[in-house]
Amino acid sequence: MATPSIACIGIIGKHNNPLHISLFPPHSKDRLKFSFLLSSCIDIFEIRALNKTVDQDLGLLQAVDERLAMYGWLTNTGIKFIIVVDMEGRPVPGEISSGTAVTGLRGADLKPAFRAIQTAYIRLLQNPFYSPDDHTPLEIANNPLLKSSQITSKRFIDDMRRIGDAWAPGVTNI
Amino acid sequence: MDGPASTSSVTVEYYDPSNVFQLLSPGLLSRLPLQNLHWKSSTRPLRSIASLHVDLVPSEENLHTLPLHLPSSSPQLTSATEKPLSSTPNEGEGLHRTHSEGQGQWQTVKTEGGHTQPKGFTRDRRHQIPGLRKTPYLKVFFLRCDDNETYKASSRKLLREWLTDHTSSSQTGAPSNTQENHDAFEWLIVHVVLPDTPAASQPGPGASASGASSGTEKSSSGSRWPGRGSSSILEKIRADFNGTSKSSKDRVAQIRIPKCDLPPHLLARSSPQPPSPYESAQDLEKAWADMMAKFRSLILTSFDLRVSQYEEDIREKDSQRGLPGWNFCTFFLLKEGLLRGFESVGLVEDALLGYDELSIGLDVMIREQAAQTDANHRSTFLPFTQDLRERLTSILDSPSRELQQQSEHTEVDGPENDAASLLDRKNYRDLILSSTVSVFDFRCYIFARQMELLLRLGTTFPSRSTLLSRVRTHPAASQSEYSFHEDPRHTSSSAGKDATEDLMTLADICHRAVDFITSASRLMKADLWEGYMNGIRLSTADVSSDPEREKSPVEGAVSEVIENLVLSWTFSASQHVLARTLTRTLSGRLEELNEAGLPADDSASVDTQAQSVSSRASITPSAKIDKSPWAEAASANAKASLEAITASRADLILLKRGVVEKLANKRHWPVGWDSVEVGENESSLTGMDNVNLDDIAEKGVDEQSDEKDKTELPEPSASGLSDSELKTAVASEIQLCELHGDLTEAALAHFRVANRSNSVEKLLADMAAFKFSLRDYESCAACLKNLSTSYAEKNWTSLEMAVLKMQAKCLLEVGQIEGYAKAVLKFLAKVIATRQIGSIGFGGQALQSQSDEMCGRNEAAGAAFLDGHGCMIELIKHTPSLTSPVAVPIDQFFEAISVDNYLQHFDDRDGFQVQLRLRYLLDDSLAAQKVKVRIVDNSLSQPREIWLQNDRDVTFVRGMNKLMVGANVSCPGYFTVDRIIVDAYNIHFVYERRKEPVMPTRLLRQSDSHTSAPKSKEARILCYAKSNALEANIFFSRSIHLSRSKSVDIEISSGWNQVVSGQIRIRSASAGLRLHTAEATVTNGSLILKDKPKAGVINFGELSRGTHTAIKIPYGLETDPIELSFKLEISYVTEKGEFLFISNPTIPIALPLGVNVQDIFKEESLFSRFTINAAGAVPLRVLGSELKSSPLYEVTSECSMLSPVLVFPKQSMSLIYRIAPRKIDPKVPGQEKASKMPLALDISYRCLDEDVFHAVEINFLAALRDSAFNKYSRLLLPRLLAHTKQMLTPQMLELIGLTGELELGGFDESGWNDIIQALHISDREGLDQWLKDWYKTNPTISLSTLDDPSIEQTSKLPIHAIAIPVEVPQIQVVHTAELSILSPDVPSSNGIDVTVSIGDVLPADIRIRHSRIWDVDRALAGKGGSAMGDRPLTFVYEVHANADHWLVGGQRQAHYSARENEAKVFNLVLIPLRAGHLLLPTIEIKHVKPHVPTAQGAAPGSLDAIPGGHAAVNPGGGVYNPSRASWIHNTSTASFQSSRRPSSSSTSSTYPHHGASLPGQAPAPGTGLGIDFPPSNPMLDARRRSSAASVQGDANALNVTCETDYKSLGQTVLVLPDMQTTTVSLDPARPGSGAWLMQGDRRLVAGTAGDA
Repeated sequence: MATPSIACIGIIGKHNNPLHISLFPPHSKDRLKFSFLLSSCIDIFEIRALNKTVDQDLGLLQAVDERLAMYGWLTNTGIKFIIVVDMEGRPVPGEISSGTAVTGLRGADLKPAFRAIQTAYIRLLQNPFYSPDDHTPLEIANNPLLKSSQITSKRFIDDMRRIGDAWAPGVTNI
Repeated sequence: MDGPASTSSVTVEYYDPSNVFQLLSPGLLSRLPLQNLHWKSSTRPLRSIASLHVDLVPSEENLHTLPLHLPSSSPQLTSATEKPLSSTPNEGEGLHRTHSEGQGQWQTVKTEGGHTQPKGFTRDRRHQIPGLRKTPYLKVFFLRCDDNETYKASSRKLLREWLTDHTSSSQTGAPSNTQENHDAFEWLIVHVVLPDTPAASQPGPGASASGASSGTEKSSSGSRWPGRGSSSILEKIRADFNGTSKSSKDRVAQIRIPKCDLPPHLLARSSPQPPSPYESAQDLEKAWADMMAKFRSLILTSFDLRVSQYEEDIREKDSQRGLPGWNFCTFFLLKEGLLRGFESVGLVEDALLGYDELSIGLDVMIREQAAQTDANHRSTFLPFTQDLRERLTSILDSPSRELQQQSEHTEVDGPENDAASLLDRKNYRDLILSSTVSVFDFRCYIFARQMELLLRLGTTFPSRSTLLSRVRTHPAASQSEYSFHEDPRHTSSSAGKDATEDLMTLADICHRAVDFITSASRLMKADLWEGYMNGIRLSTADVSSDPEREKSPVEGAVSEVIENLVLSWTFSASQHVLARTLTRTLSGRLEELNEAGLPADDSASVDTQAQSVSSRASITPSAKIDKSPWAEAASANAKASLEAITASRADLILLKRGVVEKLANKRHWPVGWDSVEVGENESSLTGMDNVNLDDIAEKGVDEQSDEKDKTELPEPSASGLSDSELKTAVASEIQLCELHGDLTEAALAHFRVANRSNSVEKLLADMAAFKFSLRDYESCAACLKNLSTSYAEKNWTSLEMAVLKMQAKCLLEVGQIEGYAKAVLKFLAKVIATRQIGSIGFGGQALQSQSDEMCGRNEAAGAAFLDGHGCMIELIKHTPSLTSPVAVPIDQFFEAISVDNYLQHFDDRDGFQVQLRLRYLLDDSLAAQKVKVRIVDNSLSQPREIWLQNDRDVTFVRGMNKLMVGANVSCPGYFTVDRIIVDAYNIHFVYERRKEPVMPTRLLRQSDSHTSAPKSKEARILCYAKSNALEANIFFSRSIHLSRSKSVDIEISSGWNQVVSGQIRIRSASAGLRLHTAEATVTNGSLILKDKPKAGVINFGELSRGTHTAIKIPYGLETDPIELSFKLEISYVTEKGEFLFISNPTIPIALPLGVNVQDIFKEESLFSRFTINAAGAVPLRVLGSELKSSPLYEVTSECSMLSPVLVFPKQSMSLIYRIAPRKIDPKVPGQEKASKMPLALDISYRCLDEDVFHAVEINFLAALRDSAFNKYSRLLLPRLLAHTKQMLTPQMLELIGLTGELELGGFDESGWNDIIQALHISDREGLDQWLKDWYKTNPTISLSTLDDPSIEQTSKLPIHAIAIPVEVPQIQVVHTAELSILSPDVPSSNGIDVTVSIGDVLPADIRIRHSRIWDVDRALAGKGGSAMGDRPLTFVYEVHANADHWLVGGQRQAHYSARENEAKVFNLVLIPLRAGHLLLPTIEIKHVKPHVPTAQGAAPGSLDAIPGGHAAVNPGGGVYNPSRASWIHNTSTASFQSSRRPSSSSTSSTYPHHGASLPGQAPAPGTGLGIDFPPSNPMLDARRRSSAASVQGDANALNVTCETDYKSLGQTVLVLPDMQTTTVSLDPARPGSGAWLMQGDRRLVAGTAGDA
């Protein structure tokens, strides 16, 4: 038993192309699995986008199993942030049961993490060397110089790592 | 009734002492359920209850007497209501007791709080959870009272007793005990009137007033009550039991049973009564309606009472929340009572809302608890679930490892196995009531309730369905569901066939279920652990327990069991929800899909399955939905709800699948993608084993080998699995996999319907993995077919790669090598692409891992799918069997592709090579057989291309590779790399240059395109031949005979090649140019032309080293171009191989000179003056000219040219030749033919520009030969010459012509940079310097060197020779005419002007004679041979005089006839009219074709002369223009123009053309020089005419051409005014000059006066 932790942070672009995927232990090696998960939950974004109007925080997208749950956040520009939470999270030695494991997460628990991601993303956009238009599938198909839509900014990647490591239920400031 | 749940109806208790319910029930039940209730409470908006089910329950008292079976809804009772609490008998008992002792009990319960022992609680807890009881909302007394007597005697008492029994507490009891309102009810007395009874004749409720007078009533009922004597039983009852106050409700109703409904045994005892007047159908119906209305209102009243009571309680409880000791459970139960109430009246939504609130409340509670460490507060909920713990311990205690059977046995025993009861199998309410509920149970309960409510919302409402069916039968509404005004929810659900499911609600269930199950399973796990730890704590309570100590050995097994329990629970819970939400619509839809695509049995037929899968895969989800006829019928709303339900159901299925996957993973059975990776590892990639082990280690398994894991793992994991399906599946690998596959398939089907494309893709991938593990590669490939592209479109690189790799494997297995190759190549390209961005995956993790790990060791999961190691080698192994090559873009595998922009010549042969560099990106080396580079030159109108190729195999290794590609081709020009192909065993890596927008090259002047600088910076290779390579050039033929066809010369110099054989392919690149290669001849050298297989191709033989040869090829032209373009290819074979020379030369064909000729006939000779001028701007150097004599004519020239004459455009050169006819001996044969040969003027000349080029070339080459750059001569020289050509402006040429020197200009102006940049870098500097020096040392180049015979190159001096055919005009007659003034005063015409005065009369005579020696025909045929012969010919002369100058007297015009050399003299008188030098009048002589009759009359020498003559005088200039045309060798177009003036001769206009006419050769229009030929052969023409004349039989009819040699031409007479005085008037007023000659006095001379 342990506290929930972030298992994966996925940034998905406007055209449903992955911009960034960070994995966190103990799931660091399940890239394929999480890629599949992230790609399939785009559907939910699409459904929600039809119904929901303004709110960026889409809350719980899908409970994958008793461990993993996906939470979504949709920016105004169509960028999708997905956090996969591992409810069992990191093993904490000696600890047996905690309230959160029993009650589950509240939607608000993830807000700080999403905010932090958004901040990081905004900072990325402010980077003059990052052109979001280069990170669309169309552009990549047309421009042979662009090999991938991945975000390569080291700072952004570090930010993601930091958020993923720092977040825990109840943490309000990341 | 298709079963509303028992909780969704209202209980109505009836007491039926006289057993009339049986009679009533048909009518009553048919009117149930109650329709359209409207409930308005104070706190809520108006709620409408569309229908309310009523459970009619006999009261306890009734049961003893009449065990009636009622068709109530008991079969639908849920398990909860099956418990003793809600079972009907107990209910009744409970009710009874409530009334008797309820008050006291309530008090005790209240004092006890929630802490009573469960065992002794059965009675009292009803008060605690009031809402749970099915207490009746309404109690009905069915009274049978046949007459008033009976009523009085017994019925009233009965009623009163009943009423006091039941209503004492609620209606009339003390309002202080508000708790009673929880069970508030109303009562109703129904008077059942049987037919043929006295009561039946009494008026009904609607007619009480009118019925009072009825006699029958009096007689029958007999009023015993004063003032009420007339009242019926009904009225009596009303009076007795309805409240006294006005506001009180009417609680009495009456129903009459019609006679026909009466069973016979009841009829029997009826006494004969008159038929009741109140039995009409309307009355009956009215009575019923009245009763039902009472039912409704009374039920609502009691409901309202209850609700308000509950709400009050809840408010109270809620306000106490903050107080210590507040119990959530109590609150919960209280609120639930309200919710149950809602539910029972059909306000399901309200109930659901309440449960949601409760759920949140529970969350809050738990959170608060968790926040508080205080143990006291925890006590609200149990920390673990008792029975779960029991199960756990039982499983743990049973020696499961050894005896699998037993563990199964115990599980089977457990009642929990029933999936349907899984969620609500326990008596949760008891637990809650006793506050001994665990959180897990609590949640389960809430969810179960929510689900139940939702199901009730979602599934059928009978009333609606019937209503709907009724509406549907109505024709107007039958078509469209929309016309039926229902709430939207219903509309959406009704879209299905006759489905009444509300799919949205069902979807909501599934959605909630997913959330619930996942969180609850988490809870369960925690619960179990807690229970387990608790157990340990209890058992080892005394010993200081250290959980850590005990953990290690046992905990593994425990966690295993716990895990299994949880998984099993998850599985069956999901299954349960799925089963509950499987609606008809949905199943139908899914079946449809299954029929379309999914045979259920996996093993049945692989082929059909593959097909089916592929067919499904090929349909895009969106399209599929649209096409389905089912979906067409459905509205958008229905579609949305269908999508929602299927999607959420699919999520549930995925939950189930997740369980299976986990179980399989534990056993290391291949399921899903993980399994495929394992397979990969085992099969081929030994390097991955380590990674895999790490992976396992991380999962908490001891670090052991794979094998050991496998043997050990299956054992512990089976216990704890309670779900039967799971249990059987777990037993064997195949079954588990199949279960997994089935679930995947089911989820896939659901997602397809749900239109969730991304999820469908994911599941397709899973499906593929499943098929892959089954080794069903074909269907696996089919699944993957579109997946990779779809992922690629969205840039899901890692997914795409995984899919691609699997696809590749499948295709390889299936044998589709091509698809395999494509997939592998795509995959490898992705491998490279991802590596290029610095990581195998995305983002930081990978970056990190790459820096941490060794390069090449990738992440474990999916790494097998992302690793490209060895793929290329394997691919190459398979590709040779490909039938057609597979092309891939080269930049996916190579980068930094560059071709050196300078070429390197081969050392031993012609041709060149270029270095190609590329960086190969894969780890696997790549052996390529061929590397081909195509370079093209698009600057010309016809693009040229050269393929360069490597000469030996190349093996690319990772990193930069260099290789040389070359071609045995010489083709000067700028080339760009257009295409690169690396061919490795049928895999073509292709580089294709991006197409630029097409340059309008055709608009560029071609001469420019050679020299134009590179337009862009892209790599352009400047191709040029080695200086000693074979070279070929095309020139316009240097010796031209204008009358013959033109030709071009191909000059070939072999250079260092010993050519064995060769082929010239020359094609015209100009429109209208036809090359007559068949007539090609060698003009120079010893070359042997072998054969000319077809037009444009010439094969030639040996050409030894260092020789020059020239081949002349005639050509014809259809148009008139300035220059000609050719495509020249010479392929030649030497010992070194086969070579190709390509060139696209363009040569100017305009002749640089023009020749004009003027002919002047004299009697004996003809003087021809040739004017040679430069046609263009280029001065000419005429070296010599000659007009050769012919057999007919003798040519003499007064001067011969000794030195070259320079002819400038404005300074022409004239040559005069005297041509005289020879005496011809007509006897000699062949002369006639010879005579036809025209004379030929041969001119040899050089053009100044060519001289300049030559001089430059000599100079430059001589200098170059001494330098190190001789190898570049073929590159540099054309450039220099081209530049020189640009410099040669007309002014420059003129200057050069005058000075004989060329100023070269500077280095900088010459634009050498382009060329220098195109060379190898080592030579650039030196060449640059050398060129600069050369320019410095040679500022000017003297042309005089050309004429220096010591220089051998002089021989190469281009001397042009042109032969111009010159034809002597065909003239039969040449007249010699002379006008002489005979005045004695004047001196005879000796060249000095005669001086006369105006008005003098000058006698003059004309002497005319003619000669016929120019008549060639006559000369040839002899004197008699000519048609003309020696006969006299008739001529007419005419004197032309300017009327202003001369007054002509005498015969101005006269016919005369004359023989040859016969002189005729005619007299004239001339009077000059003006002063000044006056030209003598001119004379024109024409031949007259006499009329036959008049010809005889026209005697020779007759004086009927008429004015005539040959217009020959140009009055202004005095230039003699011989009337015969001068022909001009036209300057620019080199065409001859016959500019002969139209003859004014009256006799003939058919003056034969001559000059450029070519006897014996048909004119070829538009050929070569564009000579304007006369329309037909003049000779033939003449002959035709002569023959025509002979037909006439008159020689005079012959057309005779004549020329006149007028000897007096240009002679003048000086005329003087001969005035003595003149008077001039100067009057400015007059118009004109104002000067006016008034008068003149003649000089009086005696002689002249006398003459006058």
